[in-house]
Amino acid sequence: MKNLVKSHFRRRVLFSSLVIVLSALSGLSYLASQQYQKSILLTFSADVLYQLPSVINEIRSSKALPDVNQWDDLYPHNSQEFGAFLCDLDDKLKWTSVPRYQRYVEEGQFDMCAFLPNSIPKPELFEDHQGHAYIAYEVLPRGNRYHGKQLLIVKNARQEVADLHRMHYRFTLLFIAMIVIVVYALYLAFKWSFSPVNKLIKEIEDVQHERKSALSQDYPLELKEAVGAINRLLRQSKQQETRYKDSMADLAHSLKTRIAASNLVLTDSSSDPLQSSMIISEQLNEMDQVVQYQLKRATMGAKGLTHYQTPLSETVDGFERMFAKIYQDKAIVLHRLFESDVALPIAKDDLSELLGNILENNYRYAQSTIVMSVYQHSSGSTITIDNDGPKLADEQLSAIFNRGVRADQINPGTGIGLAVCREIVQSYNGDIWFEQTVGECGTNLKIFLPVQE
Amino acid sequence: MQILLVEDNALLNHHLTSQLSEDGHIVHAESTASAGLQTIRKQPCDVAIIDIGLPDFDGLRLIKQIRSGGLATPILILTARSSWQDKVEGLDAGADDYLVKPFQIEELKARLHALVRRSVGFTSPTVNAGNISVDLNAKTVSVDEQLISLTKFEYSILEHLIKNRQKVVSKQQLVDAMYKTSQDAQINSIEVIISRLRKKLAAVGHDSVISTIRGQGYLFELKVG
Repeated sequence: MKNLVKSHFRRRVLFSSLVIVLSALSGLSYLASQQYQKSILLTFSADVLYQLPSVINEIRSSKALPDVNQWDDLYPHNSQEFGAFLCDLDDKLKWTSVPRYQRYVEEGQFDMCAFLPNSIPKPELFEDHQGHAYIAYEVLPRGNRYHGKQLLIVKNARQEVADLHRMHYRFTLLFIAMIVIVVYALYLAFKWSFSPVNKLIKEIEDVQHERKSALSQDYPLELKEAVGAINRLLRQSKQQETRYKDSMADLAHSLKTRIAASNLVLTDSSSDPLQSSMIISEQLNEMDQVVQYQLKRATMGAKGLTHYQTPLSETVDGFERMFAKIYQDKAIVLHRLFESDVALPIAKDDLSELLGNILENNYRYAQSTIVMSVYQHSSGSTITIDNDGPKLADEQLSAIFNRGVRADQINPGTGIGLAVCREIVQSYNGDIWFEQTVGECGTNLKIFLPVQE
Repeated sequence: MQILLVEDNALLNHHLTSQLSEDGHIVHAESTASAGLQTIRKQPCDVAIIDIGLPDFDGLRLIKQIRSGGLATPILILTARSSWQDKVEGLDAGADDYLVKPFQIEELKARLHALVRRSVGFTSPTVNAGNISVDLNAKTVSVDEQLISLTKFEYSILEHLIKNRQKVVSKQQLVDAMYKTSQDAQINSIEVIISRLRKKLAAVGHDSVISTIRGQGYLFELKVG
């Protein structure tokens, strides 16, 4: 379960949000059920009050119980805060069950009939600014057909109002506490949910400050692809940087060596001028080869995140037209043993450089035929190019790509074409090699280009 | 042979011109594409060397304009850009071969000879007419493997006649092939050179190999293989 949630970024966010929403809903449901329970009790109380006169009337009519006047002993009036008030049409107090209110009117302190409104069909709380607070309900409305006086049941609600204010205060505190808790819970949830993003930012900072060379792999599914892409870019950038540095170092070394040699030849007064000029020319030629090779080496190769799919036929068409023209005396036929829609996982420029060098060699050495085939499989594409020219000697095969030879040691005259091809293919994690065929002529050149990550 | 050279680098232009001229070629050196186009329209050449990067408009456009004018002169392009795409575009535009700068002068000469040879239908640098053998690269003529001593002008006229075998070549055409500018005196010198050439060939048993077609010009009679 832990891994199931952690491995997906969306699940993390969803899970933490769900926990917060469920907690808040549970709290609210509890409060709502409590409130509902209270409201049922309140409704019952109001109903009881409302039904009370008819119940008393029915009791009286039934004569089954003694006259209510005799109930005084049974239900003596002992509450100073609860009582009945009878007000006439002029808001004058006619009678009250709490005698001190009669006194208040006489002393001019407080008049309940003037304080309460003329009609109170439902129990209601009435307050004023002097601190008076009463819950009142009229049992008989003003202007009734018996005697026209309003009969009120009134309770002094000072205590309740104080309780209510205390409750408001408590609720406010509770609400603030809830907000603080929810905000903190949200903060924790988001911190946990977005911890992979924070980790990513931290790791990128580490890479920027060279504390790390690559990002780790432990990320939710949604970020895995982005992390993989960043790692690929970092790897390519590192390789490119290494290639630039190597190219520049090799270039500087080889050029300086040859310039030093040329200087010596030029200043040597004892040497034959014709021989000197030949040596200088040879040095210039070698410098040219080294510059060409290093320039190509520094700029070529897989770049960025593009998944290249370059159509092969299009590139071969151009070269076939060109070489057929240049080598028209030989009337060479290029046989293509591949479908016209074959595409290879390599950038167009690199494919062009690769095929240009290889086909040029094939046209140069072939007698009449070149055969080019492509085999595509799940791991990549293998291109085979063969011609009916003379076979390469076995000992040449391993040395021809100048494997492990530093650029400034490239054997002059052998050209840089195949060394460049090897660099291009290797930048795509592929391979290039020769294979001897059975028979007298032809040496297969094979190139493997893997499917890109 | 007549060579059009269109190269904007003054140093390269100067040295190419002098080295090719030393070999007996007539070089029309230009430094802009428009001047090159004007020259080749006025003076048909045996081969053209065109640099791709020219100041007024690029070499590819120049090649297209030469070809659209119906001229089939073989063209060798010089390019400092080593990308294969540039080479393919150059040959698609109408060029016949390419050479990447920097190059060796020997490589350039070999390519030029191969292009001219191909354009006149020779597949090998050695051309045989009966027992006469002409080495187009070494610029030598031998009969039964014995070298004949020819001057630069004598050789050039013989090579021009062989290249235009079985066609009548006018004196004016020979003047155009031999000299940069045409003057009346040069027509007379052509007659003198032809006469000397005939004598030298007659000495080795070929007394009627170059015939005069009255009022038209000269014709190389032997079948060339």
